[in-house]
Amino acid sequence: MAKTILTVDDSPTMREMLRSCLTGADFNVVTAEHGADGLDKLQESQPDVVITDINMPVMDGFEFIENVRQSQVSNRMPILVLTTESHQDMKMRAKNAGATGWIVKPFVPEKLIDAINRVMP
Amino acid sequence: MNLDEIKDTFFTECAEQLAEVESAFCVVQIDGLDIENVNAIFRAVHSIKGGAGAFGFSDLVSFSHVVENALDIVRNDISQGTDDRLNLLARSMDVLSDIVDATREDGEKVDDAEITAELKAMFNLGGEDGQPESTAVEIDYDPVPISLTDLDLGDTSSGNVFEIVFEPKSSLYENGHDPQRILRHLGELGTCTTVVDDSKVPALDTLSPDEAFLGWTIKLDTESSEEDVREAFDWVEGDCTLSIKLEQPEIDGGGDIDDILSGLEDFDLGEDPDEAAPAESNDASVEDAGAGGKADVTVEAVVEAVPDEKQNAAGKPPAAANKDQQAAAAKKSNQTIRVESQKVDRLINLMGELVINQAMVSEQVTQDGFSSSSPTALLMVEFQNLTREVQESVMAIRAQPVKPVFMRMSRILREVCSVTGKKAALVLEGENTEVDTTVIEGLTDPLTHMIRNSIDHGIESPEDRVAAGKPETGTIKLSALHSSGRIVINVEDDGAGINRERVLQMGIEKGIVSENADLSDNDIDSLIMAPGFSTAEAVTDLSGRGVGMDVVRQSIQSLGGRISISSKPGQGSQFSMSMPLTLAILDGMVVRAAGQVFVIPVSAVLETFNMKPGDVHKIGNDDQVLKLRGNLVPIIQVGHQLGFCGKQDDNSGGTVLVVEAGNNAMAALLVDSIDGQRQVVIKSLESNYDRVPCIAAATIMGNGQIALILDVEEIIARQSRAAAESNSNILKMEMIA
Repeated sequence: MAKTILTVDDSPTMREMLRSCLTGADFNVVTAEHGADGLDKLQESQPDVVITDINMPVMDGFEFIENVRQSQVSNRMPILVLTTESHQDMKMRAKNAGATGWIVKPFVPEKLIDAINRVMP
Repeated sequence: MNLDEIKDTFFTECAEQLAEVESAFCVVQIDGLDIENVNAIFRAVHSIKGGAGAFGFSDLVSFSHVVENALDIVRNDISQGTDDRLNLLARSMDVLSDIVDATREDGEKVDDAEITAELKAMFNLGGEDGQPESTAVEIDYDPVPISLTDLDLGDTSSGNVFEIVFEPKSSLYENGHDPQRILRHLGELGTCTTVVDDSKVPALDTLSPDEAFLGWTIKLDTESSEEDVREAFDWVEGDCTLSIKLEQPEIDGGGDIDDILSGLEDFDLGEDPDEAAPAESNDASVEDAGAGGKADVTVEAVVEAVPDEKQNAAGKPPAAANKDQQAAAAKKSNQTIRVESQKVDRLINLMGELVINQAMVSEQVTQDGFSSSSPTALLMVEFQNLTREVQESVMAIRAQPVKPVFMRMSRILREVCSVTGKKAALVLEGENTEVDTTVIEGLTDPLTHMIRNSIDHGIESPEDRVAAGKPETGTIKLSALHSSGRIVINVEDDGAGINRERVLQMGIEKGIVSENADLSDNDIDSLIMAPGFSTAEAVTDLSGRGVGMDVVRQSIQSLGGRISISSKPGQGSQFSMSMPLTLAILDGMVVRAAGQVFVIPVSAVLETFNMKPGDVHKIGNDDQVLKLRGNLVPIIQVGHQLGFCGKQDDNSGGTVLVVEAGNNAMAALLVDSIDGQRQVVIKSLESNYDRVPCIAAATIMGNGQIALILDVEEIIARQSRAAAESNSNILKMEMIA
């Protein structure tokens, strides 16, 4: 069965790029527009891997990851952070929030898929 | 979705983000700086940069990067956002918007060198070359694509042999990692011999699933460098104890494969055999053994402990256990889809045809003699209601708030102010008022011209304003509201007002009015919209190119709208435009007059009734008025007004529709009969024939006949002009006598 990926990004462009790239690699894709939306979708779709942006309205990526990690059922979900923030302290903040790994935008599709496979259960 | 479609999505997003930015700047300029709006602006620029990077739009990336850095400074310390800096940022947004346009159109490169330099100077961004790190720093991990099938079992690679000791801490699992996946990754780098250390695993009854007990010692024979090997662990740095040591290069790869294989038969990490992952790790193990034969392979009792950890690490929620309260409490976002406007246009056109068709079927049903209580007629009523509902829903798809157009005006305002040296602030009201997209598209040009005009001609220079006791900064108010089925847009300034003396003089000079014309203040004000009128003494870069308000009036009229002016000397001017909400379908009252069928927009009709003899009064020569609850309303004979027949003297007992125009002017339209209320599809007369006075458009009726839609406002305006003329003639005649 195809694996499901939840992408959380406020930019429609990024959502479409991710969707296009991921469906091309035979993943099911569920998208959310910000962290709070992501928490909803996480429950509904029970993805295998989550990819999230950091800078988002309503609920940012850090808060989203923290919420997932504190939740009852999906606390060990692999979460990749996809962001333009390439600074080291951003990575550390993401990691401290509970991120599994990170990918810096702009991403190359093959590398994105490799990164996902690296954490795919 | 292919790449071009995603690009379209990106540019649509850019437009939305830039509108957000404009919106935030508007608030900031009026209410002062606050972190929420700065964050909103930052996010918008950030998103544009992110998308641009994905497509390799380097101009866009580098400029948005500089802007982003500047915004970051303000974001981190709000007191850094001085007026000068905000103005510069606002101008930067204009340039950013230009770069987006140039990128979309593949146009000429926008020169951003100057403003980039200004930004760097004002925000002390020195040292940066404007190149974002995100393009400089590639993806920060680089897996080596060795697939397992490429590995030759018999080959003994001569590379490096690393001894890796890897002991996860519980935080590694908490962040969603699974050591098995890391081991698998190492297996992709080369051949591994892996020894598990389960000495810390406690008895099952005391085992806590949240803690980490296992460790691994891996001998990895690989062509990869130590750096590559370390990269396999870069995401778990700090979440494990790790030592990686380089041993001597591999020389010989002997060993008894069969022995090892048999020893490995039970080696299973306890996963569902159907899943791809464990199958791979099994393969890896087998190959490890094959190649790394010289090493001692010790496979101890691994199996029991791993599934537990695995279970946690995978974190797959049991289907029934949807207990996550936090997620449930989280806010639901609005679900939207993007649809090409062409598709919606097609839907609207089809909708129009459906409305006509429905009317035809209705008509036929009546003609065929079905009584109104017959099942067929009842079904027709239902059909009619459904058609109406579908029509309303379809129109709602096209309705959009006027906000984006209004937002664009703030940029126009900034530009005009910087050229003229005047100071003005834009105040928006009712920007969420919705109107059909075609109307919105048609609004941009006239509004742009009016805003320019208001600043160029209306708002005084700061010195003059102060001298006149006004605040130095002028205000231009742009507002939108719904009024009797139309949208009314007002542009109001608190400038000097229209200089009537000068306008009249210009009008006479240009031969638009005769020297001895007797004009009211309003007539003089309206002169500025006469063709070829321009008061600009020195033609500026902005308004005053001789096209002026005439073009504005024409574009508003082509939208089925009207424009009126009111001005008070020294206090300012107000331009008011009223337009239909949609250009596609109209709720109409079908009437007959002089043997013709006409449609009167229902939105204009206040009431309809048959007059009694006492209701009609004569005024002046042959004008008639209707006495309606104490008010006198002029009666307009539709057939006569449009030139189909002469004036009737006795109108008592006639049918009238009391209608209202935008400026509260009322009139009673006298017709022969009212056929009923119907939805009609608007077909433009102007685009198919020519503009006809008092006629707004045409339509096709259910029986295929063409009917004209009346322009109520113009009919009223003409009537009152004619009445004024004939009355003034009477007065003049009396004076002569």
